[in-house]
Amino acid sequence: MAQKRKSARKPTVDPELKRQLADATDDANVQAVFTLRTPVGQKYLCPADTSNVVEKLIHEGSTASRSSPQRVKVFANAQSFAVSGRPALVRSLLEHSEIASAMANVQREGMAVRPVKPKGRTKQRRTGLRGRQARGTKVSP
Amino acid sequence: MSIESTLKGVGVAEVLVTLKDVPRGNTAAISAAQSRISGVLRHFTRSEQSHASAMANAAGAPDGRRLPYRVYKNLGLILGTVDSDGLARLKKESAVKAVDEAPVLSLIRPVAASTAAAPAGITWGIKRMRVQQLWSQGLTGKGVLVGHLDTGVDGKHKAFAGGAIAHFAEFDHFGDQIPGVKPHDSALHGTHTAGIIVGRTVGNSRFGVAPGAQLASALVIEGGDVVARILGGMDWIIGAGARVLSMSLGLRGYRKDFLPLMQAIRNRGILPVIAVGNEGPGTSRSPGNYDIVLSVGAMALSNHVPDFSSSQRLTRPRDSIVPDIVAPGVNVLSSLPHGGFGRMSGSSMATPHIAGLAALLWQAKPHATIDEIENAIFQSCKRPPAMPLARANRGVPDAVDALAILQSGGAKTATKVAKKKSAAKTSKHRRKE
Repeated sequence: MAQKRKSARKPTVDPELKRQLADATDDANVQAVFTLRTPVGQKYLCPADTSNVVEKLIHEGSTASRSSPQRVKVFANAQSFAVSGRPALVRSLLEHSEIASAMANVQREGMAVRPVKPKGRTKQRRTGLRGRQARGTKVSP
Repeated sequence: MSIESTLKGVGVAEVLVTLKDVPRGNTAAISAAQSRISGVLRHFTRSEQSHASAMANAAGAPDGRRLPYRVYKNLGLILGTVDSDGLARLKKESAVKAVDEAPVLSLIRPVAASTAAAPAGITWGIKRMRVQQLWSQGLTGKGVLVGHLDTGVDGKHKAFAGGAIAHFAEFDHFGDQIPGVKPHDSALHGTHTAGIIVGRTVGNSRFGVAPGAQLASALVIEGGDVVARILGGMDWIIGAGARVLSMSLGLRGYRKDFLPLMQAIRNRGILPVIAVGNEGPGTSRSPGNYDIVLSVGAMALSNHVPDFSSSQRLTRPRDSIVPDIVAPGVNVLSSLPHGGFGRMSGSSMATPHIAGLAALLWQAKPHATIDEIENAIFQSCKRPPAMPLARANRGVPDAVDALAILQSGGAKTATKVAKKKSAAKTSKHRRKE
Protein backbone atom coordinates (compact mmCIF):
# COMPACT_ATOMS: atom_id res chain seq x y z
CA MET A 1 0.00 0.00 0.00
CA ALA A 2 2.75 2.41 0.94
CA GLN A 3 4.60 3.54 -2.14
CA LYS A 4 7.56 5.75 -2.78
CA ARG A 5 6.63 8.79 -4.78
CA LYS A 6 7.77 8.97 -8.38
CA SER A 7 6.06 11.97 -9.84
CA ALA A 8 3.21 12.38 -7.37
CA ARG A 9 2.34 15.68 -5.70
CA LYS A 10 4.61 16.71 -2.88
CA PRO A 11 3.17 17.00 0.60
CA THR A 12 2.68 20.41 2.18
CA VAL A 13 5.54 20.73 4.64
CA ASP A 14 5.43 23.26 7.46
CA PRO A 15 8.35 25.76 7.23
CA GLU A 16 9.06 25.14 10.90
CA LEU A 17 9.55 21.42 10.22
CA LYS A 18 11.86 22.27 7.31
CA ARG A 19 13.84 24.53 9.61
CA GLN A 20 14.06 21.89 12.34
CA LEU A 21 15.20 19.27 9.83
CA ALA A 22 17.82 21.62 8.40
CA ASP A 23 19.15 22.49 11.84
CA ALA A 24 19.09 19.00 13.35
CA THR A 25 22.23 16.91 13.66
CA ASP A 26 22.00 13.32 12.39
CA ASP A 27 21.58 11.89 15.87
CA ALA A 28 19.01 14.46 17.05
CA ASN A 29 15.34 13.67 17.51
CA VAL A 30 12.74 15.52 15.48
CA GLN A 31 9.02 15.36 16.26
CA ALA A 32 6.72 15.61 13.28
CA VAL A 33 2.99 15.23 12.71
CA PHE A 34 1.71 13.83 9.40
CA THR A 35 -1.75 13.78 7.84
CA LEU A 36 -2.45 11.13 5.22
CA ARG A 37 -3.90 11.80 1.80
CA THR A 38 -7.48 10.66 1.20
CA PRO A 39 -7.54 8.09 -1.62
CA VAL A 40 -9.37 9.15 -4.78
CA GLY A 41 -13.05 8.18 -4.62
CA GLN A 42 -13.15 8.05 -0.81
CA LYS A 43 -14.37 10.71 1.60
CA TYR A 44 -11.80 9.83 4.24
CA LEU A 45 -9.55 7.00 5.39
CA CYS A 46 -11.28 4.75 7.89
CA PRO A 47 -9.42 4.19 11.19
CA ALA A 48 -8.30 0.66 10.29
CA ASP A 49 -6.86 1.81 6.95
CA THR A 50 -5.10 4.73 8.66
CA SER A 51 -3.43 2.34 11.11
CA ASN A 52 -2.38 -0.01 8.31
CA VAL A 53 -0.93 2.77 6.17
CA VAL A 54 0.99 4.22 9.11
CA GLU A 55 2.40 0.81 10.00
CA LYS A 56 3.68 0.30 6.46
CA LEU A 57 5.04 3.83 6.18
CA ILE A 58 6.95 3.48 9.44
CA HIS A 59 8.31 0.09 8.38
CA GLU A 60 9.46 1.37 5.01
CA GLY A 61 10.77 4.62 6.43
CA SER A 62 12.74 2.77 9.10
CA THR A 63 14.23 0.42 6.57
CA ALA A 64 15.18 3.20 4.17
CA SER A 65 16.67 5.42 6.86
CA ARG A 66 18.08 2.59 8.98
CA SER A 67 16.54 4.26 11.96
CA SER A 68 13.62 3.19 14.13
CA PRO A 69 11.23 5.75 15.53
CA GLN A 70 11.56 6.62 19.18
CA ARG A 71 7.81 7.09 19.51
CA VAL A 72 4.79 6.80 17.22
CA LYS A 73 1.22 7.88 17.94
CA VAL A 74 -1.54 7.08 15.45
CA PHE A 75 -4.60 9.35 15.34
CA ALA A 76 -6.74 6.83 13.51
CA ASN A 77 -9.92 8.94 13.41
CA ALA A 78 -8.06 12.03 12.29
CA GLN A 79 -6.17 10.26 9.47
CA SER A 80 -2.89 11.38 11.04
CA PHE A 81 0.10 10.25 13.08
CA ALA A 82 2.97 11.70 15.08
CA VAL A 83 6.56 10.46 15.01
CA SER A 84 9.58 11.20 17.13
CA GLY A 85 12.75 10.02 15.44
CA ARG A 86 15.97 10.81 13.63
CA PRO A 87 15.88 13.43 10.85
CA ALA A 88 16.62 10.72 8.27
CA LEU A 89 13.46 8.86 9.23
CA VAL A 90 11.30 11.98 9.02
CA ARG A 91 12.81 12.90 5.63
CA SER A 92 12.19 9.37 4.41
CA LEU A 93 8.52 9.55 5.46
CA LEU A 94 8.14 12.80 3.53
CA GLU A 95 9.04 10.92 0.33
CA HIS A 96 5.88 8.83 0.41
CA SER A 97 2.92 9.74 -1.73
CA GLU A 98 0.47 8.86 1.05
CA ILE A 99 1.55 11.89 3.05
CA ALA A 100 -0.62 14.96 2.43
CA SER A 101 0.95 17.33 4.93
CA ALA A 102 3.60 17.39 7.61
CA MET A 103 4.19 19.79 10.49
CA ALA A 104 6.67 20.20 13.27
CA ASN A 105 5.04 19.00 16.47
CA VAL A 106 6.62 21.75 18.54
CA GLN A 107 5.88 25.16 17.07
CA ARG A 108 7.77 28.32 17.91
CA GLU A 109 4.57 30.32 17.81
CA GLY A 110 1.66 29.93 20.20
CA MET A 111 -1.55 28.61 18.67
CA ALA A 112 -4.10 29.91 21.16
CA VAL A 113 -6.33 32.75 19.98
CA ARG A 114 -6.11 34.64 23.22
CA PRO A 115 -8.74 37.03 24.54
CA VAL A 116 -7.96 40.70 24.15
CA LYS A 117 -8.80 43.95 25.86
CA PRO A 118 -11.00 45.92 23.46
CA LYS A 119 -10.34 49.63 22.99
CA GLY A 120 -13.19 52.11 23.50
CA ARG A 121 -16.88 51.62 22.83
CA THR A 122 -17.30 49.56 25.98
CA LYS A 123 -19.63 50.89 28.58
CA GLN A 124 -19.31 48.14 31.14
CA ARG A 125 -17.03 48.77 34.06
CA ARG A 126 -14.18 46.31 34.29
CA THR A 127 -12.30 45.23 37.34
CA GLY A 128 -8.99 43.42 37.26
CA LEU A 129 -9.37 39.70 37.69
CA ARG A 130 -5.86 39.21 38.90
CA GLY A 131 -6.24 41.74 41.67
CA ARG A 132 -9.42 40.12 42.86
CA GLN A 133 -7.96 36.68 42.66
CA ALA A 134 -4.92 37.89 44.56
CA ARG A 135 -7.22 39.06 47.34
CA GLY A 136 -9.03 35.77 47.27
CA THR A 137 -12.30 37.36 46.23
CA LYS A 138 -14.55 35.29 44.07
CA VAL A 139 -17.61 36.61 42.37
CA SER A 140 -20.24 33.94 42.33
CA PRO A 141 -23.86 33.94 41.30
CA MET B 1 5.70 31.00 7.75
CA SER B 2 7.76 31.67 4.58
CA ILE B 3 7.53 34.58 2.13
CA GLU B 4 6.58 32.12 -0.61
CA SER B 5 3.65 30.61 1.29
CA THR B 6 2.35 34.08 2.16
CA LEU B 7 2.60 35.13 -1.50
CA LYS B 8 0.67 32.04 -2.53
CA GLY B 9 -2.13 32.53 -0.03
CA VAL B 10 -2.42 36.29 0.17
CA GLY B 11 -0.83 37.52 -3.09
CA VAL B 12 1.56 39.93 -1.41
CA ALA B 13 3.97 39.70 1.51
CA GLU B 14 5.60 42.12 3.93
CA VAL B 15 9.39 41.89 3.63
CA LEU B 16 12.35 43.39 5.38
CA VAL B 17 15.13 44.39 2.99
CA THR B 18 18.65 44.76 4.34
CA LEU B 19 20.72 47.12 2.21
CA LYS B 20 24.40 46.72 1.57
CA ASP B 21 26.61 49.05 3.59
CA VAL B 22 27.03 52.50 2.11
CA PRO B 23 30.66 53.66 2.22
CA ARG B 24 31.19 56.51 4.65
CA GLY B 25 32.74 59.82 3.56
CA ASN B 26 32.87 59.00 -0.13
CA THR B 27 30.36 61.45 -1.65
CA ALA B 28 30.33 59.83 -5.06
CA ALA B 29 29.77 56.38 -3.56
CA ILE B 30 26.96 57.68 -1.33
CA SER B 31 25.31 59.32 -4.30
CA ALA B 32 25.56 56.13 -6.34
CA ALA B 33 24.18 54.09 -3.45
CA GLN B 34 21.23 56.43 -3.02
CA SER B 35 20.49 56.11 -6.70
CA ARG B 36 20.50 52.35 -6.38
CA ILE B 37 18.14 52.56 -3.38
CA SER B 38 15.70 54.57 -5.49
CA GLY B 39 15.76 51.67 -7.92
CA VAL B 40 15.02 49.25 -5.10
CA LEU B 41 11.91 51.18 -4.06
CA ARG B 42 10.27 50.62 -7.46
CA HIS B 43 9.85 46.94 -6.70
CA PHE B 44 7.42 47.46 -3.83
CA THR B 45 3.76 47.38 -4.61
CA ARG B 46 0.64 48.98 -3.20
CA SER B 47 -2.02 46.34 -2.59
CA GLU B 48 -5.39 46.09 -0.89
CA GLN B 49 -4.19 42.77 0.45
CA SER B 50 -1.32 44.31 2.37
CA HIS B 51 -1.53 44.52 6.10
CA ALA B 52 -0.91 48.28 6.05
CA SER B 53 -3.71 48.85 3.54
CA ALA B 54 -6.15 46.74 5.52
CA MET B 55 -5.30 48.70 8.66
CA ALA B 56 -5.78 52.02 6.85
CA ASN B 57 -9.09 50.94 5.36
CA ALA B 58 -10.37 49.69 8.70
CA ALA B 59 -9.51 53.04 10.24
CA GLY B 60 -11.28 54.84 7.40
CA ALA B 61 -8.02 56.48 6.29
CA PRO B 62 -7.41 57.33 2.63
CA ASP B 63 -5.07 54.79 1.08
CA GLY B 64 -4.09 56.62 -2.09
CA ARG B 65 -1.05 58.59 -0.95
CA ARG B 66 0.49 55.99 1.31
CA LEU B 67 3.75 54.53 0.08
CA PRO B 68 4.04 50.73 -0.02
CA TYR B 69 7.36 50.88 1.81
CA ARG B 70 9.10 52.60 4.67
CA VAL B 71 12.83 53.38 4.59
CA TYR B 72 14.85 53.27 7.79
CA LYS B 73 17.94 55.12 6.59
CA ASN B 74 19.94 54.87 9.78
CA LEU B 75 19.37 51.17 10.03
CA GLY B 76 19.90 50.46 6.34
CA LEU B 77 16.53 48.68 6.19
CA ILE B 78 13.38 48.95 4.11
CA LEU B 79 10.08 47.47 5.23
CA GLY B 80 7.56 47.07 2.45
CA THR B 81 5.00 45.06 0.52
CA VAL B 82 5.95 42.98 -2.52
CA ASP B 83 4.28 40.62 -4.95
CA SER B 84 6.04 37.63 -6.53
CA ASP B 85 7.59 39.63 -9.38
CA GLY B 86 8.71 42.39 -7.04
CA LEU B 87 10.37 39.87 -4.76
CA ALA B 88 12.28 38.32 -7.65
CA ARG B 89 13.45 41.76 -8.81
CA LEU B 90 14.41 42.83 -5.30
CA LYS B 91 16.64 39.81 -4.88
CA LYS B 92 18.54 40.76 -8.03
CA GLU B 93 19.21 44.36 -6.98
CA SER B 94 22.88 45.14 -6.39
CA ALA B 95 22.09 47.40 -3.42
CA VAL B 96 20.22 44.63 -1.60
CA LYS B 97 22.07 42.43 0.85
CA ALA B 98 19.14 40.26 2.00
CA VAL B 99 15.36 39.96 1.74
CA ASP B 100 13.64 38.38 4.72
CA GLU B 101 10.10 37.93 5.82
CA ALA B 102 9.04 40.90 7.92
CA PRO B 103 9.10 39.80 11.54
CA VAL B 104 5.69 39.52 13.14
CA LEU B 105 6.09 40.92 16.59
CA SER B 106 3.27 40.41 18.98
CA LEU B 107 2.60 41.38 22.51
CA ILE B 108 1.97 38.75 25.08
CA ARG B 109 -1.49 40.05 25.58
CA PRO B 110 -3.10 40.23 28.97
CA VAL B 111 -6.07 37.98 29.43
CA ALA B 112 -8.82 40.55 29.20
CA ALA B 113 -11.05 38.87 31.70
CA SER B 114 -12.95 40.72 34.35
CA THR B 115 -14.92 39.12 37.09
CA ALA B 116 -18.57 40.04 37.19
CA ALA B 117 -21.81 39.02 38.74
CA ALA B 118 -23.74 36.34 36.94
CA PRO B 119 -25.56 37.86 34.00
CA ALA B 120 -29.00 39.12 34.87
CA GLY B 121 -31.33 37.47 32.39
CA ILE B 122 -30.06 36.74 28.90
CA THR B 123 -26.65 37.90 27.64
CA TRP B 124 -26.45 40.46 24.83
CA GLY B 125 -24.92 38.01 22.38
CA ILE B 126 -27.82 35.59 22.65
CA LYS B 127 -30.33 38.42 22.22
CA ARG B 128 -28.40 39.84 19.26
CA MET B 129 -28.69 36.56 17.40
CA ARG B 130 -32.34 36.07 18.55
CA VAL B 131 -31.44 32.68 20.00
CA GLN B 132 -34.03 32.87 22.79
CA GLN B 133 -36.79 32.60 20.20
CA LEU B 134 -35.49 29.15 19.31
CA TRP B 135 -35.50 28.19 22.99
CA SER B 136 -39.18 29.13 23.17
CA GLN B 137 -39.78 26.56 20.42
CA GLY B 138 -38.13 23.90 22.57
CA LEU B 139 -34.76 23.98 20.83
CA THR B 140 -31.88 23.83 23.30
CA GLY B 141 -29.41 21.64 21.43
CA LYS B 142 -30.61 18.52 23.24
CA GLY B 143 -29.12 15.37 21.76
CA VAL B 144 -26.29 17.20 20.00
CA LEU B 145 -22.66 16.70 21.03
CA VAL B 146 -20.31 19.64 20.47
CA GLY B 147 -16.53 19.15 20.34
CA HIS B 148 -14.56 21.74 22.31
CA LEU B 149 -10.76 22.02 22.00
CA ASP B 150 -9.49 24.50 24.56
CA THR B 151 -7.86 24.84 27.97
CA GLY B 152 -10.36 22.38 29.43
CA VAL B 153 -13.44 23.16 31.48
CA ASP B 154 -14.23 23.42 35.19
CA GLY B 155 -16.67 20.55 35.51
CA LYS B 156 -17.76 21.60 39.00
CA HIS B 157 -19.22 24.91 37.85
CA LYS B 158 -23.01 25.18 38.18
CA ALA B 159 -23.15 26.14 34.53
CA PHE B 160 -22.29 22.55 33.62
CA ALA B 161 -24.59 20.75 36.05
CA GLY B 162 -26.80 17.98 34.76
CA GLY B 163 -24.38 16.28 32.43
CA ALA B 164 -23.36 19.21 30.24
CA ILE B 165 -19.85 17.76 30.01
CA ALA B 166 -20.52 14.37 28.47
CA HIS B 167 -16.85 13.60 27.84
CA PHE B 168 -13.58 15.13 28.97
CA ALA B 169 -9.98 14.30 28.09
CA GLU B 170 -6.53 15.78 28.50
CA PHE B 171 -3.66 15.06 26.14
CA ASP B 172 0.09 15.08 26.62
CA HIS B 173 2.56 16.73 24.26
CA PHE B 174 2.67 13.72 21.96
CA GLY B 175 -1.10 13.40 21.68
CA ASP B 176 -1.55 10.55 24.17
CA GLN B 177 -4.59 10.75 26.40
CA ILE B 178 -3.73 11.18 30.08
CA PRO B 179 -5.71 8.60 32.04
CA GLY B 180 -7.94 9.32 35.01
CA VAL B 181 -8.38 13.08 34.67
CA LYS B 182 -11.56 14.88 35.69
CA PRO B 183 -12.92 17.98 33.92
CA HIS B 184 -10.67 20.88 34.88
CA ASP B 185 -9.34 24.07 33.29
CA SER B 186 -5.63 24.82 32.97
CA ALA B 187 -6.50 28.53 32.62
CA LEU B 188 -9.77 30.50 32.26
CA HIS B 189 -10.48 30.41 28.58
CA GLY B 190 -12.01 26.95 28.21
CA THR B 191 -14.56 27.35 31.00
CA HIS B 192 -15.65 30.65 29.42
CA THR B 193 -16.05 29.30 25.87
CA ALA B 194 -17.72 26.11 27.12
CA GLY B 195 -20.23 28.26 29.03
CA ILE B 196 -21.11 30.16 25.86
CA ILE B 197 -21.81 26.90 24.03
CA VAL B 198 -23.69 24.78 26.59
CA GLY B 199 -23.92 26.82 29.82
CA ARG B 200 -27.04 25.83 31.78
CA THR B 201 -29.30 28.40 33.36
CA VAL B 202 -27.90 29.55 36.74
CA GLY B 203 -30.54 31.38 38.76
CA ASN B 204 -32.07 33.61 36.12
CA SER B 205 -28.79 33.87 34.20
CA ARG B 206 -28.85 32.56 30.66
CA PHE B 207 -25.55 32.71 28.78
CA GLY B 208 -25.28 29.34 27.00
CA VAL B 209 -26.51 29.37 23.41
CA ALA B 210 -27.39 25.66 23.47
CA PRO B 211 -28.13 24.92 27.13
CA GLY B 212 -29.44 21.44 26.35
CA ALA B 213 -26.47 20.31 24.25
CA GLN B 214 -23.52 18.35 25.59
CA LEU B 215 -19.79 18.88 25.27
CA ALA B 216 -16.89 16.62 24.44
CA SER B 217 -14.18 18.87 25.84
CA ALA B 218 -10.46 18.25 25.34
CA LEU B 219 -7.70 20.07 27.21
CA VAL B 220 -5.10 20.71 24.51
CA ILE B 221 -3.63 24.15 25.21
CA GLU B 222 -1.69 25.97 27.90
CA GLY B 223 1.58 24.49 29.02
CA GLY B 224 2.89 24.05 25.49
CA ASP B 225 1.32 24.57 22.10
CA VAL B 226 2.12 21.41 20.23
CA VAL B 227 0.38 20.07 17.17
CA ALA B 228 0.14 16.41 18.27
CA ARG B 229 -1.71 17.46 21.41
CA ILE B 230 -4.33 19.24 19.35
CA LEU B 231 -4.53 16.34 16.90
CA GLY B 232 -5.03 13.99 19.83
CA GLY B 233 -8.01 16.11 20.88
CA MET B 234 -9.46 16.18 17.37
CA ASP B 235 -9.05 12.44 16.98
CA TRP B 236 -10.83 11.86 20.28
CA ILE B 237 -13.65 14.27 19.43
CA ILE B 238 -14.30 12.50 16.12
CA GLY B 239 -14.45 9.20 17.99
CA ALA B 240 -16.85 10.66 20.56
CA GLY B 241 -19.36 11.45 17.80
CA ALA B 242 -19.38 15.26 17.90
CA ARG B 243 -21.25 17.07 15.13
CA VAL B 244 -19.59 20.45 15.62
CA LEU B 245 -15.97 21.30 16.42
CA SER B 246 -15.50 24.62 18.24
CA MET B 247 -11.86 25.68 18.21
CA SER B 248 -10.10 28.94 18.98
CA LEU B 249 -6.65 27.86 17.84
CA GLY B 250 -4.51 28.62 14.83
CA LEU B 251 -1.14 29.63 13.46
CA ARG B 252 -0.71 33.15 12.10
CA GLY B 253 -0.92 33.67 8.36
CA TYR B 254 -2.23 31.40 5.62
CA ARG B 255 -0.66 27.95 5.92
CA LYS B 256 -1.87 24.89 4.10
CA ASP B 257 -0.59 22.45 6.71
CA PHE B 258 -3.97 21.90 8.39
CA LEU B 259 -5.93 21.69 5.15
CA PRO B 260 -5.99 17.87 4.70
CA LEU B 261 -6.91 17.45 8.35
CA MET B 262 -9.79 19.95 8.20
CA GLN B 263 -11.01 18.32 4.99
CA ALA B 264 -11.00 14.92 6.68
CA ILE B 265 -12.95 16.34 9.63
CA ARG B 266 -15.51 17.95 7.34
CA ASN B 267 -15.81 14.80 5.25
CA ARG B 268 -16.69 12.95 8.43
CA GLY B 269 -19.72 15.18 8.85
CA ILE B 270 -18.29 17.44 11.56
CA LEU B 271 -18.71 21.18 11.09
CA PRO B 272 -15.45 22.95 11.99
CA VAL B 273 -16.24 26.35 13.55
CA ILE B 274 -12.91 28.15 13.94
CA ALA B 275 -11.86 31.57 15.28
CA VAL B 276 -10.18 33.80 12.67
CA GLY B 277 -7.79 35.49 15.13
CA ASN B 278 -7.33 38.60 17.23
CA GLU B 279 -4.59 40.43 15.34
CA GLY B 280 -6.77 42.97 13.50
CA PRO B 281 -7.35 43.90 9.85
CA GLY B 282 -5.09 42.33 7.24
CA THR B 283 -4.41 39.26 9.36
CA SER B 284 -5.85 35.81 9.87
CA ARG B 285 -4.90 32.43 11.26
CA SER B 286 -4.95 28.93 9.83
CA PRO B 287 -7.11 26.86 9.90
CA GLY B 288 -9.58 29.69 10.63
CA ASN B 289 -8.91 31.17 7.18
CA TYR B 290 -9.70 28.05 5.12
CA ASP B 291 -12.74 28.01 2.86
CA ILE B 292 -13.72 24.57 4.22
CA VAL B 293 -14.24 25.81 7.79
CA LEU B 294 -16.81 28.21 9.19
CA SER B 295 -14.58 31.13 10.05
CA VAL B 296 -15.77 33.49 12.79
CA GLY B 297 -14.76 37.03 13.74
CA ALA B 298 -15.96 39.23 16.58
CA MET B 299 -18.55 42.01 16.75
CA ALA B 300 -19.50 44.42 19.52
CA LEU B 301 -22.89 45.33 20.97
CA SER B 302 -22.59 48.63 19.07
CA ASN B 303 -22.75 46.66 15.78
CA HIS B 304 -19.12 47.45 14.99
CA VAL B 305 -16.31 45.03 14.28
CA PRO B 306 -13.75 45.69 17.04
CA ASP B 307 -10.20 46.67 16.05
CA PHE B 308 -8.73 43.41 17.28
CA SER B 309 -10.87 41.07 15.18
CA SER B 310 -8.85 39.62 12.32
CA SER B 311 -9.96 39.90 8.70
CA GLN B 312 -8.17 39.36 5.42
CA ARG B 313 -8.72 39.13 1.68
CA LEU B 314 -6.98 36.04 0.28
CA THR B 315 -5.99 35.25 -3.30
CA ARG B 316 -8.36 32.31 -3.80
CA PRO B 317 -10.92 33.07 -6.50
CA ARG B 318 -14.02 32.32 -4.44
CA ASP B 319 -14.86 32.97 -0.84
CA SER B 320 -11.79 35.15 -0.61
CA ILE B 321 -12.73 37.18 2.47
CA VAL B 322 -12.29 35.87 5.99
CA PRO B 323 -13.98 35.62 8.41
CA ASP B 324 -17.15 34.15 6.88
CA ILE B 325 -19.29 35.81 9.52
CA VAL B 326 -19.04 37.76 12.77
CA ALA B 327 -20.69 37.00 16.10
CA PRO B 328 -20.81 38.56 19.57
CA GLY B 329 -17.24 38.76 20.83
CA VAL B 330 -16.83 41.87 22.99
CA ASN B 331 -17.48 41.90 26.73
CA VAL B 332 -19.13 38.51 26.60
CA LEU B 333 -20.30 37.25 29.97
CA SER B 334 -19.88 33.58 30.72
CA SER B 335 -18.61 31.16 33.32
CA LEU B 336 -15.11 31.25 34.83
CA PRO B 337 -13.39 28.52 36.86
CA HIS B 338 -14.17 28.13 40.58
CA GLY B 339 -17.85 29.01 40.19
CA GLY B 340 -17.41 32.58 39.01
CA PHE B 341 -18.47 34.61 36.03
CA GLY B 342 -16.63 37.14 33.93
CA ARG B 343 -16.36 39.03 30.68
CA MET B 344 -13.92 38.23 27.91
CA SER B 345 -13.41 39.61 24.42
CA GLY B 346 -12.07 37.96 21.31
CA SER B 347 -12.98 35.98 18.21
CA SER B 348 -12.68 32.98 20.50
CA MET B 349 -15.79 34.26 22.32
CA ALA B 350 -17.62 34.72 19.00
CA THR B 351 -16.81 31.19 17.80
CA PRO B 352 -18.74 29.29 20.52
CA HIS B 353 -21.84 31.41 19.81
CA ILE B 354 -21.85 29.90 16.30
CA ALA B 355 -21.04 26.39 17.52
CA GLY B 356 -24.03 26.67 19.87
CA LEU B 357 -26.28 27.93 17.09
CA ALA B 358 -25.26 24.97 14.91
CA ALA B 359 -26.24 22.64 17.77
CA LEU B 360 -29.71 24.23 17.98
CA LEU B 361 -30.20 23.84 14.24
CA TRP B 362 -29.11 20.22 14.34
CA GLN B 363 -31.63 19.47 17.05
CA ALA B 364 -34.30 20.97 14.81
CA LYS B 365 -33.20 18.88 11.84
CA PRO B 366 -31.06 15.97 13.05
CA HIS B 367 -30.41 14.58 9.57
CA ALA B 368 -29.26 17.88 8.09
CA THR B 369 -25.86 17.81 6.40
CA ILE B 370 -23.08 20.13 7.48
CA ASP B 371 -23.55 22.07 4.25
CA GLU B 372 -27.23 22.64 5.10
CA ILE B 373 -26.41 23.86 8.61
CA GLU B 374 -23.63 26.10 7.34
CA ASN B 375 -25.74 27.47 4.50
CA ALA B 376 -28.68 28.20 6.81
CA ILE B 377 -26.34 30.19 9.05
CA PHE B 378 -24.77 32.03 6.10
CA GLN B 379 -28.06 32.83 4.42
CA SER B 380 -29.50 34.21 7.66
CA CYS B 381 -26.70 36.76 7.99
CA LYS B 382 -27.30 40.49 7.76
CA ARG B 383 -24.55 43.07 7.74
CA PRO B 384 -25.33 46.34 9.53
CA PRO B 385 -24.17 49.55 7.77
CA ALA B 386 -21.37 50.09 10.30
CA MET B 387 -19.70 46.84 9.29
CA PRO B 388 -17.57 46.99 6.13
CA LEU B 389 -17.69 43.94 3.88
CA ALA B 390 -13.95 43.42 4.26
CA ARG B 391 -14.27 43.20 8.04
CA ALA B 392 -17.55 41.36 8.56
CA ASN B 393 -18.14 39.58 5.21
CA ARG B 394 -21.70 38.22 5.40
CA GLY B 395 -22.39 39.88 8.74
CA VAL B 396 -24.23 38.54 11.78
CA PRO B 397 -26.39 35.39 11.72
CA ASP B 398 -29.99 35.43 12.87
CA ALA B 399 -31.11 32.24 14.63
CA VAL B 400 -34.79 32.64 13.72
CA ASP B 401 -34.05 33.15 10.02
CA ALA B 402 -31.48 30.34 10.00
CA LEU B 403 -34.07 27.91 11.39
CA ALA B 404 -36.68 29.03 8.87
CA ILE B 405 -34.22 28.61 5.99
CA LEU B 406 -33.19 25.16 7.23
CA GLN B 407 -36.78 23.98 7.67
CA SER B 408 -37.91 25.33 4.31
CA GLY B 409 -35.19 23.36 2.54
CA GLY B 410 -33.57 26.56 1.34
CA ALA B 411 -30.18 25.62 2.74
CA LYS B 412 -29.59 22.63 0.47
CA THR B 413 -27.50 24.53 -2.05
CA ALA B 414 -23.86 23.44 -2.15
CA THR B 415 -21.74 25.40 0.29
CA LYS B 416 -19.49 27.16 -2.20
CA VAL B 417 -22.38 28.22 -4.39
CA ALA B 418 -24.33 29.34 -1.38
CA LYS B 419 -21.35 31.30 -0.13
CA LYS B 420 -21.07 33.02 -3.49
CA LYS B 421 -24.78 33.82 -3.62
CA SER B 422 -24.73 35.04 -0.08
CA ALA B 423 -21.82 37.36 -0.79
CA ALA B 424 -23.65 38.72 -3.83
CA LYS B 425 -26.78 39.17 -1.77
CA THR B 426 -24.80 41.00 0.87
CA SER B 427 -23.27 43.35 -1.68
CA LYS B 428 -26.74 44.04 -3.08
CA HIS B 429 -28.04 44.69 0.41
CA ARG B 430 -25.18 47.11 0.98
CA ARG B 431 -25.84 48.99 -2.25
CA LYS B 432 -29.47 49.49 -1.25
CA GLU B 433 -28.30 51.11 1.95
